[in-house]
Amino acid sequence: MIQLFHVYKHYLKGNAALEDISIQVEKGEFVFLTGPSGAGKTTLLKLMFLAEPPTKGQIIINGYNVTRLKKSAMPFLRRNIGVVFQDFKLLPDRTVFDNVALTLAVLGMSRKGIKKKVWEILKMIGLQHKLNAYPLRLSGGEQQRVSIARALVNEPAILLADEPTGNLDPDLTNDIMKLFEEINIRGTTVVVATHDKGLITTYNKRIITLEHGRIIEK
Amino acid sequence: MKPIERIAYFISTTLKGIKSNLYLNVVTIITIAVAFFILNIFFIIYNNVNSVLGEWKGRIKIIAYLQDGITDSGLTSIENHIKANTGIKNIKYYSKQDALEQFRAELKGQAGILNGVSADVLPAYLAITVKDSVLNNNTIDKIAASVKSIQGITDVQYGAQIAQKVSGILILVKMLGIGIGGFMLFAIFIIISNTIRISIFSRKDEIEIMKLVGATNIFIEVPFVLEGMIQVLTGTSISIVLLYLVYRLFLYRLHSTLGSLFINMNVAFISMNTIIAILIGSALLGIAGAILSTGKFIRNNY
Repeated sequence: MIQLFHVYKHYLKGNAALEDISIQVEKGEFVFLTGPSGAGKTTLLKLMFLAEPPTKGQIIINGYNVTRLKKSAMPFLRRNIGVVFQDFKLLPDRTVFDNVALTLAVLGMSRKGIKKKVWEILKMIGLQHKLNAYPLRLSGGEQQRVSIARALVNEPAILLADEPTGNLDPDLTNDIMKLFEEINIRGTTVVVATHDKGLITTYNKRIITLEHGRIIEK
Repeated sequence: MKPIERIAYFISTTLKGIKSNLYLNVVTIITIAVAFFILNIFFIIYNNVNSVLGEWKGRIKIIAYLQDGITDSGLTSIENHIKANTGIKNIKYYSKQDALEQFRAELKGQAGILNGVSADVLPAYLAITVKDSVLNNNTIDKIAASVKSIQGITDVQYGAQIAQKVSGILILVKMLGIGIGGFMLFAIFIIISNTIRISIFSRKDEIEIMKLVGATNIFIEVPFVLEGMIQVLTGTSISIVLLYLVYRLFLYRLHSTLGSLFINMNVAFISMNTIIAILIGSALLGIAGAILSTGKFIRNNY
C-alpha cells in the first residue's frame, strides 16, 4: 500500500531531514512511526500524503509512483489518503457538519449524499448530536474525533495520523486509539506517528523507529 | 454534485469569502471605482473632442477660384484634372451668383453690406472636399499646389494649418488616452491581484485542508476568481453611475455654455456599446488579476 525506496529529503542549507528511507507498509496494516522529536516522523508523513516531494528516491502509494505523478493527478491520489493532525486543523468558523462535509464537497458529491455520509460517520465516532456545534466549543478529544471523521468520511484506503493524541489526556487517547483500531479492522491501512512510548507498548503493533532522519528499526 | 449545485457552491463560497474580508473588499471596490471614474471621464473627453474635431475636419475644403468666362467644357476639363489627384472626395461648383448667396448666408444679420454688390465682382469657384486620409498624412499641400497649377484656376485657399493642427490634436489625445488608460488598467490589475492575494492568505488554512482532502486546484481557485470579477464589476458599475451623475450635474450644462463657441458641440455620455465593452473588459481584467494570484499561491504548491 505504501512503499518507499531509498528516499531522501533535504531542506535548504543542506540539512538532511530524511536519509535513505526504505519501508513497506502492506494493505490493512497498522504501523507506529516513532522516534524522538525532530527524528523526521512528520517529514516522512508529509511525503506520504504528498505535501512535499522527496529530494531523491521513489514513493509508491496505492500503486501510484508519486515522484512521477503529474501535479494535476495528485488531488485524485490524495482522496485515497486521510490525514489527522495533532492540532486537528479544523476550520473554526464552520460547524462540525461543514468541516466534515468539506471532504465530500471537494469530491463533487450531491448535498443529499453529503448529508447522509456525514451523519453516518459522526454517528460512528459518537458525535452526531454535535452536528451544528463549532469546533472551538468542543473538547480536545471531540475536536480530534471530528478531524478523524473528516479524514475518513470518503472511506480512504490509508489513514495517516501525526501525533493524533499529543494534545489529549490518557482516557481520550484510549478512545482515539480504539477508533483507529476499529477503522483498521474495517480494512484501512493506518500509520500513526507518535513519540509516546506508553502508547506503543499498550498497543502491540508493528513499529518503525526513526532517529536523525534514518530508520533504526522496522 | 449536479452542475447547478456546483454553481451554488461556488457562489456561496465566493460570498462567504467576500463577507469574511468585507473591509478589504469595500476598499478595493472603492479604489477600482475611482480609477475607472477617472478613466471614464477621459473616455468622455476623448469621444467628444474626437467628434468635434472630426466635424471640423469634415469642413476643411480647398477652394479653387475660377477665371472669369470659363466655359462648361472648360469646367469639366478642370474637374477631371482635379479628380486625377488621389484623395478627392467631392467637387462642388459655385457660380458667381452662388458665391454671392453663400457670402450673404455667411454674413447673416449684416447681409445689408452687400446691397448694391453685383455677383460679377465675386469669382466663381470650386469647393473641393478631400478624404480623411489626406488630412491624416498631410498631402493636402500637394493637392492644393496641383490644383493651382491647372489652367483656368486663378488661386486656391485651404485651411492647411488648421488641418494639420486638428490631426495633431487628435493624435495627441489618442496617445494620452492610451497612456492614461493603460496605466489605470495596469494599476487596477495590480490592485485586484493583491486583494485576491490577501484573500488567499486569510483563507490559507481552508485551502490547505481542501488540498489535503483532494480538492483540485480549479475547485479551490474558482471562488477567488469570482471574487476578483465581482470586485471589478461592482467598482466599474459604481464608477459608471457616479459618472452619469456628474455628467447630468455638470457636463450636460457645459453644453449650453459652450454651445455658442463650438458649432454643434454636444457633450455626449459614453455610449451603451462603450459601457458594455468597459464592463466586459473590466470583468476579464478582474479574472486575470485573480488568476495571477491564485496561480502564484495555489497552483505552485506541491
